Amino acid sequence: MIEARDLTKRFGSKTAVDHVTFTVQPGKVTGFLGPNGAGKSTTMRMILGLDRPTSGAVTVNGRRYADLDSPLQEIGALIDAKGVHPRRSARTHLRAIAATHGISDARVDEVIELTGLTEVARKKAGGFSLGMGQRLGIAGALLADPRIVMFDEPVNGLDPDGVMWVRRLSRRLADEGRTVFLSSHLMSEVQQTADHVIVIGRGRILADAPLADFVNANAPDSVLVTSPDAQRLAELVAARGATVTAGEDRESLAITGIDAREIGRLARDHQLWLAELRSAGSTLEEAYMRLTAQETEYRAGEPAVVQGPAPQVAAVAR
Amino acid sequence: MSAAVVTPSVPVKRSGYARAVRAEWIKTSSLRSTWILVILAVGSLVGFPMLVGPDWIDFAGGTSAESVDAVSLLWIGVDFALTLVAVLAALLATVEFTTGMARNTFTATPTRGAVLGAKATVGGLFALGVGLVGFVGAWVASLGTFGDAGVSIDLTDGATLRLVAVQLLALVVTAELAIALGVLLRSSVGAIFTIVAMQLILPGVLSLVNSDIARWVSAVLPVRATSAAALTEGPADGVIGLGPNAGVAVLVAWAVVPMLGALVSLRKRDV
Repeated sequence: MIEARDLTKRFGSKTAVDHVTFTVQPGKVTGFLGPNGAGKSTTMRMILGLDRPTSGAVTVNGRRYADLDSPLQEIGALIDAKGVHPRRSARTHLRAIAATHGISDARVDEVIELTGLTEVARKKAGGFSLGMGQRLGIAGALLADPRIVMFDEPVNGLDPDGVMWVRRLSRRLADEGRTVFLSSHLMSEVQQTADHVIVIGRGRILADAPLADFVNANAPDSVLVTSPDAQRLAELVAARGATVTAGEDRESLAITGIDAREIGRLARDHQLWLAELRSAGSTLEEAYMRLTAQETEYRAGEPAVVQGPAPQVAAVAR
Repeated sequence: MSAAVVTPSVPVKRSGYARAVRAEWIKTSSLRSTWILVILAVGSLVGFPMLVGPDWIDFAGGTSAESVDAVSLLWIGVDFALTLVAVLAALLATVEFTTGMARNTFTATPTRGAVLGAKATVGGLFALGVGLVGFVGAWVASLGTFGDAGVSIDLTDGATLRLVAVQLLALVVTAELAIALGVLLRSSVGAIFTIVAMQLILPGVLSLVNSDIARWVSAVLPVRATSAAALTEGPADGVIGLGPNAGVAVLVAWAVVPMLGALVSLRKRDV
């Protein structure tokens, strides 16, 4: 479990992480979302004690990182796939990390096998592709069989097989009861992997909720309609409390708050022509875009948000 | 809130200084550049005296040469070796930051002082090893020439032993200074240039400046402190310089003070 309390990091006048409070629970895959520069990596670096918080605190399984006796067994992290000496072999790199915890060479070879690096294990890491570098970083994270795994942008540079592998690995680790914390800016990837999402934007937590709740709250399922009588239909459903968004052409509508069956019945009752009628499940990407768009407007219109310790701008129902 | 139910199956031990030393050894010894620098440094310690060849004895004062003069000749390659040891040691620290390996290093061993101590240990051992192997090599290579001239090296002689010990100390101090500069500057070029400037450039420049301040600054530079420490007598009256024991103290300070600075910097700065 990772617990951040009021975590803040300033670099000069720039606030990278702004009074962030969250808990990452075991047994689940938690996605950490946000655009580049939102504060994801800085937060992760503070969790590992690499960056010192300006204020606030973060604990790993209840203790400060620096106070952990065998930190790699508590939390295994992939922070930067390029953090390897280019002239050292993958195996030697892992042996050096293993040595800090008295981990055997046999275990080193085990994680090499697990991450599919056996063939290149004795090659210099400088010649590795980004994808192989990611695998090497994940191998290092898994060395001590940690209770928490934390991966920063793990699927960057991976081929489709690799992406699938990371997805399955994350799932398996979470099912074993471990805490899995993944950052990404790839929404489709997170949607397929995560059970829970924490969204960060400009250093603040914008949402912290189960994936399904987050998606429903920010982008409810909608019904897409194409009809030559679109305008009349829009009036009818709006009168029943639905929300209508008109498409670019005059015939298409996106309707929320009323289901496809009901729209069909209304059309029949009023003899309206439906050319197309289908339910569209919403995606994490839509929910995320909508949330961040709101956030931008909110900030633009209301600059004085600074009071209060941790403003939950879009606190979502749990 | 459910308690973590996972029991990791891989046996681990506490991370800390001793295991960090092992990790640093694996990291350093696995790089070819390390061994190239070691071979060049040992080679210069052994090779430079050999270049002087049979003329040694004349330099050392002919057949009447004393043990200490002969030994000081055996160390004529030391400036070159010092520079190479400085490069090796500086890289021990700077590659962490230039390659990003530091993130792995400090997550595996979160105590900053333990990592710095491990680097200081490994760097110091390399310097000591280079010095010992180089000195013994130069000695063995010189046996013929010195034997023919009837000069023998006597390590039970106080002055001789002191000279050898101080040269070894100077190598270790240079390594520690280079590691500290590497941590403070986090730049290979910056750290190596600073050392070379202090060892090779500054003493020459300062000797041209006609001021007592410049003479004092020059006297406490590592090179001059080493020379002072290696002698058994202090400077003549009216000459600015350090006595033998002050020389040792200043030399040691060149390792300790920058290392303390490096420790403070490492604790305060983000990795």
